[in-house]
Amino acid sequence: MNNNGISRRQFLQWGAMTAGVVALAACAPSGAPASAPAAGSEGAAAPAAAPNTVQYWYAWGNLDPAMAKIIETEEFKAHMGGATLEYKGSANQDSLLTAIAAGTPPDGGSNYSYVNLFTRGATIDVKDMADASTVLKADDILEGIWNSAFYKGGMIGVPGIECFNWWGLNVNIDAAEKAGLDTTTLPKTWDEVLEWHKAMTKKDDAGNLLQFGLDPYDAMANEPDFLAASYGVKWFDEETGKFDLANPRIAEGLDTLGEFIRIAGPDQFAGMRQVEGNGTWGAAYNAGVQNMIMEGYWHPGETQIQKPEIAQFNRSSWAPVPADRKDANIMATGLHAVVIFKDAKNKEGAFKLGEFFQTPTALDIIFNEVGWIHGVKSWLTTVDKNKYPGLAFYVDAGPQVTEWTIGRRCPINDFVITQYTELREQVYRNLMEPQAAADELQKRAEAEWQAQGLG
Amino acid sequence: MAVATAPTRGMTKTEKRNQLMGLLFISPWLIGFLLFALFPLIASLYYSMTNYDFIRDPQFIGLANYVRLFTTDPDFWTVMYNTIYYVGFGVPLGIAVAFLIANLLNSEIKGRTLFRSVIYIPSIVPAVCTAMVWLFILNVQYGAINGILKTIGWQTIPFLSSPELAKPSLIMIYVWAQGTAVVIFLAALQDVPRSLYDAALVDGANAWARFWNVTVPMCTPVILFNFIMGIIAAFQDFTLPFVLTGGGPMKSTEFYVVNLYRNAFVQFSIGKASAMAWILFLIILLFSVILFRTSARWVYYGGEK
Repeated sequence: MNNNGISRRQFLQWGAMTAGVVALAACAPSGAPASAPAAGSEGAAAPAAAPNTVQYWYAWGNLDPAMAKIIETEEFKAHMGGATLEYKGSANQDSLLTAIAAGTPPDGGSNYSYVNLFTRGATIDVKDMADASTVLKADDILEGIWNSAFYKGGMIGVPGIECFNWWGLNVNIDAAEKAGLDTTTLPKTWDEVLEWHKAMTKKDDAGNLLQFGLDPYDAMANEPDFLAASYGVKWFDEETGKFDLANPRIAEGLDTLGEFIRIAGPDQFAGMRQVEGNGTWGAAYNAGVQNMIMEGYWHPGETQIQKPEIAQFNRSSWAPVPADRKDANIMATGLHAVVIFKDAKNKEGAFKLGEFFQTPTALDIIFNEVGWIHGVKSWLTTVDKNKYPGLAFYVDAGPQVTEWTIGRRCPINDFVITQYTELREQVYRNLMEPQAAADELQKRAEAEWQAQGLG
Repeated sequence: MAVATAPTRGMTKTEKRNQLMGLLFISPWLIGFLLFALFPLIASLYYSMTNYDFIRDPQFIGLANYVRLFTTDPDFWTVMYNTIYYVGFGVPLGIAVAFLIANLLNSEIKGRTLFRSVIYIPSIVPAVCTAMVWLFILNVQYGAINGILKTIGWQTIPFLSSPELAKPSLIMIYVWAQGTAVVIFLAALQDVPRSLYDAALVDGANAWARFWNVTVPMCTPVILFNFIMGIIAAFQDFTLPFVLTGGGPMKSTEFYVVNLYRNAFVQFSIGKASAMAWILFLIILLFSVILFRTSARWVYYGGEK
């Protein structure tokens, strides 16, 4: 018998060798950049000593169109000195933490738990870089925003991309007028807002929820910062690490805000939130199901870009406060920044990116493409505050604010939000007394603080 | 009596070459197992005894994470209750339904092949898609069932948004997706010797007696298999509660693994999450051991004497 074919053993050997070669090839670093190279880098070899790429991750899902335009500008290419920007949007905190743990974080990142990452040493103090910068000007950035970039003397990141006034009551005045409300003046106290909520909440004959006024825990109101500030409480003192969540005014707030959900029906409410299109941040407002929402400076622009037919009826005013504080104009601001990771390969490149987000070119693109504002004083004077309905309130609010809050300063903010979400639900479902919920929240926060070794 | 021993000799060149080839062929699995299974397993045991947040170096704290979970953690017992409720009702119900469906599909019915395919489809559909489909069926505001109820003027049913109904609703979806168990049961049913049914018929056994005294005992090894696999899978269910309800309302569907994920990736408590993972491992092990230990009383292996 002629046996000149390959044997099974030979086939396996060759197969194994081929697989090995393929595996090695797959492990080799990719030669193609993920995004277009900046000017000057085309065809040029990267210097061996200085990485010529900047990796930048952010958790936002809607910044991509602006980033695509920014990297195409000549000004950006010149500023980055030929470095290629590899950016990745919608990169959530899970993937970031995994990359940090693996020692391969991006160079820069935005929209993560800034204080949390900084206090644990995942990101570097950029104060020296900021001091040496000729682009970053502390006195040209609104004081509250600039201050929010610091934690116990260290500088968390380069303030940028967006950040301005965080809290306003945004109302769909068309829905309000259809509900028979006088929209000349928007409600200011919780009692007034509750009346508007009742008027705008509609159910069918069988009691099923069709639309409602305000979800008091949606968007910016989801975080304890808001309820605490509304009732005049500072729930966390970053200097001492002490919590004041058991404050009776927090309990009062839990009860008052819970009433909004009780009127709509807790089960109905939870069901409404589970649906795609109503469940995510602000989506129910855009869908016309929710007619009031606690959001900030981004709300008018984002709504205009995403849902102009709703945005045309948007009007904004002061965040609600209890009747005994009706003269308090509360406002928050805080940080969005380009933070630089400890294990970044190109820290200077990431800082330069942060610098570029201060420039009018970047700010204009972000304002027009996404609807966001950053508190750079010289640029704010050029902003058309009437471009998006409701935006004027946020642009003009600053001088009238009586109580400022710098938001999200607690290193266990995410933990507190998780517990706050559960306990407030116990309150509005009448399963727990408001003060007991506040006490429990305090207890849990203190225990977690100790357990995480932060005490 | 002298014991004969094989003369020791070194391996021939061909044997050495064969051994090397053998090791080479199993090396992908071996390396993968060591790097991606054994090392993480041991690492997680170490992390479970540390205060670790992914960022700072782990600090050894002994059994403090375990003590904290059992004594002061605000969520541990809630998620444990939720998960045991889900496993305790879902798995037996799923096995029972799958077994009954397999019996139906094993009978001479028209379109049997089509029904078999239809029953199996939920098992090959990604869990996220399953979740979305059920959301559109069960949602209180916009769901199909409640749409019908609204149309006829009835009060809607908050299947997924009431703390009382959310867990039973998830169990119902779990039971619906038992296609794999059905297929395995079908294979087992086709292995039951015809002669046993014939003998039972001769003895005057009716359909129920044949099912109870022939079909069920002969399928008990497969019931045991499905039970163990079901318990392992149900204890680790993540996608369905995470996508459908996000653990709510009021943490009523916050299952063990969802909470473990939250501890690890939202609250930066990798040490605690690792401890949770090991506790879950021990729980699953315990259930598996109990099932195996008790199996001698209710599992019939045809080949046993």
